[in-house]
This record gives sequence, C-alpha cells and structure tokens, in this order.
Amino acid sequence: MWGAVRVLVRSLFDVRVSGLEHWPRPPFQLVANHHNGFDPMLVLAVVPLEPRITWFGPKEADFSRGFKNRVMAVFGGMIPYHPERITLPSAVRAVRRVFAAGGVLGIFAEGRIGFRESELLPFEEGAAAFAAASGVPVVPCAIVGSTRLWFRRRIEIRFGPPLRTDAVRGREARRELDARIREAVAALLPPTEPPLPRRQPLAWLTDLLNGADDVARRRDQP
Amino acid sequence: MLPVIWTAFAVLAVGGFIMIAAYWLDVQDRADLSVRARIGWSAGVLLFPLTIPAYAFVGGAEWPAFLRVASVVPAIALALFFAFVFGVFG
Repeated sequence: MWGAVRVLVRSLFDVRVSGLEHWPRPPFQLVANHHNGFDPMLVLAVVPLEPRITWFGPKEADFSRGFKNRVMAVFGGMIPYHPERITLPSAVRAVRRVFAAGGVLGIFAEGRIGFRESELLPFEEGAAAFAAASGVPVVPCAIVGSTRLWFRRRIEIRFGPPLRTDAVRGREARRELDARIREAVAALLPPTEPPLPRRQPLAWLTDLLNGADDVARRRDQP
Repeated sequence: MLPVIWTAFAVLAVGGFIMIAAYWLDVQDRADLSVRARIGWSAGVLLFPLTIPAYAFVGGAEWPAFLRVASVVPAIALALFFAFVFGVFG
C-alpha cells in the first residue's frame, strides 16, 4: 500500500530529501512544519519504510467522515487527538507505546496548516511535552514547497541534526526545549517566500486533502 | 493478445477518468480565463476526447509534457471501448 502511495506522490510532485543522515537510531520524534494535508505522504514518500512513522494529532475523531478523514483512516499510522475528549496524559501514554515499540513519532508542531513557506505558526505544547516525557531525540524537519501544490512542483523535505531531550525536566526546561525545536525547524526554512510561477498546472491539488476550515482560512488570507 | 488489450483498456479507462477530472478542475482553477471561456471549456467536457487534447495543446493550459501526452488517454480509452463494442478484436 505504502509503495503505491510513494509512487503516486513522487509522480505527482518532484519531492527531494536532504539530511536523512541526521536520523538517529529509533525511537525518535520528528517535528515538522505543516502546510498541507499532503504533508505526511510527502514525508513518507522519501524516507525509509522502516522505522515506521506514526503521526500524532489528526484532530478529527471520526475518521469515517469527509474525504481527508477517509484517506487518513485507510493509511493508518496515526494517533488521533481531540483536545476536548483526550487528555494530554493519555496522549502521552499512546506516544510512549510508539517509542516502546522502537517507532518514530511524527508531529506537526503548529497544530494546523500555515500558508507561508518562510514562517512558522506558534507551536502547540505537544511536541516538547512528548519528547521531554519520553527522553527521545527530536529530529527537526522542514517541508518546503507544499503551501501551494501543482503537478510536478518541487518540494523539499529537509531534516536537521537531532536535539537531545533526555535531561529536560520541569516546565521551564520544556519551554526552553520548545524554543530550541522551533529554532531548529525555522533554520531549515527558506529565508524569504519563494516566487510562484504564473501558471500552476493542476493547482487544485493544493486543497485536495485540506480540511474545509483550512480552505476557508486560506481564502481569508490577505 | 486479447487479455493484453483488455488490461490496457482497463488501465487507460481509469487514467481517462482521472484526466477528465483533472481537466475539469484545472479549467475551474484558471483565473486567467474569462467567464465565457470557462463556460465553453467546461461544456466542452461533453466532447472530452477532442477538448482535453485541445485544451492541453492550444488552450493555454501550459501543462508539462507528461500531462499533454496523458491528455489523449481518454480518447484512446474511448476508441478501445468502441473497438470492443464493434468486435474489432474478434
């Protein structure tokens, strides 16, 4: 199944990867920026099939509704999170099970998609909390080029050197870790917004896997 | 030979449906088209074996080579369909 997805994604887009040599031995946590519903597939299209990445944080609790949710349900490998129904401690327990199995946890630290390639939205508390609670290294990841998608758009998946988290204790240390992670992801982003070509073939791919709220937010962008 | 042609037809038919959807969505996404042109290209989907290649090659779509080649897939799939209907392959 994943093989087919990799072929499809790499046919639709020109996906490049750099920094894979920074990956430590699993378990570890991958912290990425988020621009598009395609992002998990874009990452999975260029990384090794093992260790398997489990993605944290799809907010939709009901995976039987909507195209995006159905796609996510088919591919699995996710820890759904609903702030009103699932507490942070129970999410941490689920995350620990991933690490105990020698897996990789992927998390989009911003918690929602952003619309600028060179900027990050404020981080949610999950990324630093999970890493601190488990003591696994954090690998920063930047997905560059997925704010707007079109056929054969060049997309770069960049990984940075891992950050140690085994000595992080207490709220202040977590906040400092959060800042370090943010800084590491930001360092992988382009300094300015890349220019967009006039014509973007099959540009409807941009919102194919985005939720209705994300599409509405994009429409309201200045 | 027939199983090979059937397989090719099945693959091209799926590809053809995808191309029709891709064409339609691309036309709706063209901010540079006038309303009249968009209505025209949209209505043209009824003649998709002709309009999709026309759109790809002279419709200002600026599609890359792969998509331009793929634009003839629906026409080939339809031709194979009628070839089966009229017993061209025995």
